[in-house]
Amino acid sequence: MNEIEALVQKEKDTSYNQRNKDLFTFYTLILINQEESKRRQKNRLIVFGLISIAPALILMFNIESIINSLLNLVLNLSLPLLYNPSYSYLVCILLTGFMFSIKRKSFFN
Amino acid sequence: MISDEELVRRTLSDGSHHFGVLIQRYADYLFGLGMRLTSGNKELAEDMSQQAFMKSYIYLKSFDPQKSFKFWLTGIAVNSFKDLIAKENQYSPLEDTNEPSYTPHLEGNKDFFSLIKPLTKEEKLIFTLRYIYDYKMDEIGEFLDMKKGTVKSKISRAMEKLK
Repeated sequence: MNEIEALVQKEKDTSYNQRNKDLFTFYTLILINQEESKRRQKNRLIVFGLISIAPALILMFNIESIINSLLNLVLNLSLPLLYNPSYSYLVCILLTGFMFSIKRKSFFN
Repeated sequence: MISDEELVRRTLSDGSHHFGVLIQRYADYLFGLGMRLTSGNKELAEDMSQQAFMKSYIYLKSFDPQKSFKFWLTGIAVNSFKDLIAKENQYSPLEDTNEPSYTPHLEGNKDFFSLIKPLTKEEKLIFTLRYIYDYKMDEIGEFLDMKKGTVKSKISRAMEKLK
């Protein structure tokens, strides 16, 4: 046991020194900066990728809901107009006029 | 002298050039730890300390100023050593090859390294942290993500082997 303690104490007293501390620091800092710029580049690529595919993704996954909401908007706007007699009367006249003009065109041709 | 915590704060706000001071301050400490853990393999010890500094810079935001920077750095160095061992095991040498193999040049206190030779790498690590660096059992447990009891039993097993 005493021998182990003596060896441990001897090792505790031993000091280890980096060969060239300045060079080691310089080189480690270069590696750190390289790693950092790599990480930054990667992040930029990820952001760019997300931005470029985001519209496509939105369209792909939400196209159904977009169509549905558009249809709802059209129906919500048009249905109340049809229930109103004066508006429906106006629509009828416009449709008749439209049909008549088509018929007249074909008659004169 | 600027404190470690202040240098960490400056590194986070101003950039990596402040980290250089921390590298200078702890280069010998980590190199010594590396030498002891690798049984005097200078190249591996340098590699380990460099990896530890790089990792500590990457995870610098997670440094808790309530603990000492040295303690935090030691934890990272220990994990870097574990990674190195894992890599070494991954690329274990092929048997029956005629190619010359690289034999590292070993330096340091040979008596101590031959004393801990019968121990496994994990036992060497725990033994060194406990008896050379005087870390407490729970601190070693924190480094290695182990319970205090497990560390205790591993140390007593190591001591049995050494006797």
